[in-house]
Amino acid sequence: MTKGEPRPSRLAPLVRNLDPRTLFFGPIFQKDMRISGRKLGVYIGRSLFALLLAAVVSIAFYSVWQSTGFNQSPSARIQSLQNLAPVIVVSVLWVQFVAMALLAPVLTGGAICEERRAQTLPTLLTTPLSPVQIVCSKGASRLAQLIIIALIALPVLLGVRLFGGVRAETILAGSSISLTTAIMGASIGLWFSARAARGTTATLAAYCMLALLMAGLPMLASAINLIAESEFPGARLPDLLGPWAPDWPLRIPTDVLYASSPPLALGAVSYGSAVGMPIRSIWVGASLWSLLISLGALTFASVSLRAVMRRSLGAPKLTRRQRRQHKKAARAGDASPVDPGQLRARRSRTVADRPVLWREIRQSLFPSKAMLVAAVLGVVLIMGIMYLAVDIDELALAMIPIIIGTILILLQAALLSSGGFASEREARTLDALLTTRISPFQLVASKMLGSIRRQWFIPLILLIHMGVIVAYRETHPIVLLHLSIIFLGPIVMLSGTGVYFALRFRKSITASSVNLALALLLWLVWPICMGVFFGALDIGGYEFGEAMANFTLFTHPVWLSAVSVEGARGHFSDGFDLSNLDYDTPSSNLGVVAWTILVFASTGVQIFIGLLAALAALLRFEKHTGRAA
Amino acid sequence: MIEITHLTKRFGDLTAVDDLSISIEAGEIFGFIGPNGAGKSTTMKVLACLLKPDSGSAKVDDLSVRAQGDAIRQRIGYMPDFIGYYDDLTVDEYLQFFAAAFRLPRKKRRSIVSGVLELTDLTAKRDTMVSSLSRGMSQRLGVARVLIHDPKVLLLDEPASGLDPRARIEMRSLLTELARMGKTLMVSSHILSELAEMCSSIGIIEQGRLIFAGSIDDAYARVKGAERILIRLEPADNIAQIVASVVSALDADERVESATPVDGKAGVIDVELKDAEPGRHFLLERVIAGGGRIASFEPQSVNLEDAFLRLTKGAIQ
Ligand SMILES: Nc1ncnc2c1ncn2[C@@H]1O[C@H](COP(=O)(O)OP(=O)(O)OP(=O)(O)O)[C@@H](O)[C@H]1O
Ligand SMILES: [Mg+2]
Repeated sequence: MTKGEPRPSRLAPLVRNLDPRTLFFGPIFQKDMRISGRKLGVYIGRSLFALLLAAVVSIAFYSVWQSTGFNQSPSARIQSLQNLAPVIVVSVLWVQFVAMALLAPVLTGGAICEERRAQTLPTLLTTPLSPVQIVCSKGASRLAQLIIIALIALPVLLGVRLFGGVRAETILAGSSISLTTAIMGASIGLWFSARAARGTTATLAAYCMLALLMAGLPMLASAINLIAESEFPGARLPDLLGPWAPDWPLRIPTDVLYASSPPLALGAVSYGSAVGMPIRSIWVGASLWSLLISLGALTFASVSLRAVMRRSLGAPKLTRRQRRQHKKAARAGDASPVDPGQLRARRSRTVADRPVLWREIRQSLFPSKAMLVAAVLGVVLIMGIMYLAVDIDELALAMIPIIIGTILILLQAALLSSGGFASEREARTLDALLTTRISPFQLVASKMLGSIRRQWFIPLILLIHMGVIVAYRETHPIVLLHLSIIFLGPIVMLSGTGVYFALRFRKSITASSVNLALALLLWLVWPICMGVFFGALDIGGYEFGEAMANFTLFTHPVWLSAVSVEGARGHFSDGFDLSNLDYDTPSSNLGVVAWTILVFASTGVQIFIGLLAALAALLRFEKHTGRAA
Repeated sequence: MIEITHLTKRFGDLTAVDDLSISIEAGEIFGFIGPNGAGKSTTMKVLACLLKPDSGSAKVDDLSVRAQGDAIRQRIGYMPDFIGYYDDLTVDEYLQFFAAAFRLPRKKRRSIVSGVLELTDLTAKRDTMVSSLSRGMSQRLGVARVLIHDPKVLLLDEPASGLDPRARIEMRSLLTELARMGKTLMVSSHILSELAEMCSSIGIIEQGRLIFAGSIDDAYARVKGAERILIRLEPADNIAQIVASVVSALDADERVESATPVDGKAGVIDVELKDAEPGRHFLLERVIAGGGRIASFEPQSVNLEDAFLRLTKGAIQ
């Protein structure tokens, strides 16, 4: 370099890197947008979402029409429409929030690891695109899908405002919370996608992370407040901290607590103004908080991707011990350290008679032992804080983890079960497998059993959690039986449907999305519709409505587990006596025998459906794989 | 051993295999050659019972792929063009996995796995993770995998693709060794010369249709007939004129397919003879009649690549 030439600024590449045009809307963005524009499923999904919104709104209007009668004065009708408008806005905001929070990790979970599976990642990494650009434009293209979904709801929300009674800030606040949550979910999904081997695993991990953020942070805040104000002298936090205690009060303000969790913030936006909550600081805070987390997740994603890039492309990843061996060999002056192919070795195991099953049940949810340990430690930490902070006889202590955990079980079952089969197709191993003497039955059954076995972690944690509460003699042990049976239902059912969809659709991401859609339809959309139809509208008379409500709830794992926990509470002090247990259902209170039968029946129905789906997979096996008899 | 008659397979509008008939005797190495997208893999998948034929029939060892899939699967070893690997298994486990999938008795599996590892020279890699094998090793592992149940027929889809010259030779000797053990092999490739030395017969396929079937020598003979000869004339002042008259004289002969001056080389004419034309003397007469004096007369040896290009251009038939 000659002296007169200005030294190129070190900042220049950074600035170039962060130029929003290439950062978010570079070639990857355009490619991804074009591909998604070609997919029929994307349009079907959007139309279904629009239909759902339209259904919610029109049913609500219809109900007003009905209830005000046909001969009422127009002003009375407008009056009731005004009363209804806030209800509609709130329900649309919630539907939008749930849809965006659930969709974001699905959309981004596969973004990077699918490229890795398709072996296109190395190609991508050799282009001048930086990891930050790759991550951001992948995120932007998925986010564009989410924004389109958010835009679908906007006309409805603004239209409803015409009737008055809804503040513009509510709509702004709700949309802002939904959108920033979507950005957060998408970013976390990308982060895990850069690390995980499969899109579904990344999505699932992102869901767990979201659940942790949404429920864990407010719980942590409440715990701190509880300790800060503990009645026991000496147990209060300032006393514990002694001379290190700060001057300001250690209490976490309510608005911070609400802002730390998007669903709580949306709850405050929906219902809080009546009780005088500081709505604005809550929703602005929640939005900023989500964006901050997104920024962190995107940074982690870029760092992970850079690490992938640094490792010589395509070279196998070495374990720590192998790296150490490698270094030692190099230090010893060994010109060519041990060949890496030789390094990636371990003692071979003996394969059992049913090879697919043998391999399936050795597939773990966690890619490494370290991750399993980290997950266990994390859970222990959270549980520990909870047990310390909340009285063991609080219902919330038992209930909140059970409800969140059951939802995670459903999501996990929906996402994981299709992986086994479709990934076999994606890894191109299916052809080789289909030319062996393995029967379709053996293949389908192994995949299904493997999928069921992979899902042990969350149910086990929940059972241990309830076990602790039972051990403190706060709840009857029968709850453990009920919960085990309840968890089994959706796991078997969604594993069955997952295997069927994986056979039916070529791509694992399609299969797991369809399976997830099925779960949402059954356990989210259907209950909402039931609520609107029979709760709000009273269609078909009271008795029919009650029957439908019962049917809906009796097949709903979240409700079943909540009632099981509630019903068994506080009765253990009478010994093992079962006669006092009392389970609350919409129509009547059930005794323990009736409830147990109900739980078994509900799970039985779900297992039956799962087996039917597996049977369908068997019968259609030849058609969908092309294999001749 | 393999009998394909009037086989047709369509994917939507595209006819991947079009009225294909092939017959392969037991103990043969059949080379299945064609350009990209010709339908080689599709044909092999039909034989491996992975795709159902739309019409026509395919039989392996007198068993029909339509109805007797299970029996056929025991008799064939199919190695797909893209070999997927389970990245959580070692070489040994991978082979055991397929031994179990073929329901080989448990006690025998160890020795069978050792045997095929020995045969494919992979014994040293026994405990290596499958995902960390090099391309050549994984290709050999693919062959080891199809041998595990000792099938009579091997369907190998481009076993040598991506291999370096040395590994190609090793692969070739491995396949020859397998044929010596009495197996029937159907091996696909884009490259004729790769198969020339080991195949007892070849079939050339283009756009789903068989355009040649027979021995390598037959294939040679078919293209050899259409021989090319370079005629170099002695330099002269009016060479361009002489060349023009010689070319028109040659063109007039019905035994000559074409005669063209070679660009950039004054006085050189490229003559292509009609198929299977044995005579050469008339060329001399024609050149002299055209007023040229011959400096050299060079028959161009037909190499296999040319033959392949010609055959697949539809130059024959
Ligand atoms: N599953 C499929 N769906 C649709 N078209 C297919 C499918 N498989 C193959 N084809 C088409 O059938 C034709 C023949 O493909 P095939 O894979 O048999 O060719 P090939 O001779 O093996 O080519 P190559 O040398 O590239 O491997 C191609 O045009 C291909 O695009
Ligand atoms: Mg092919």
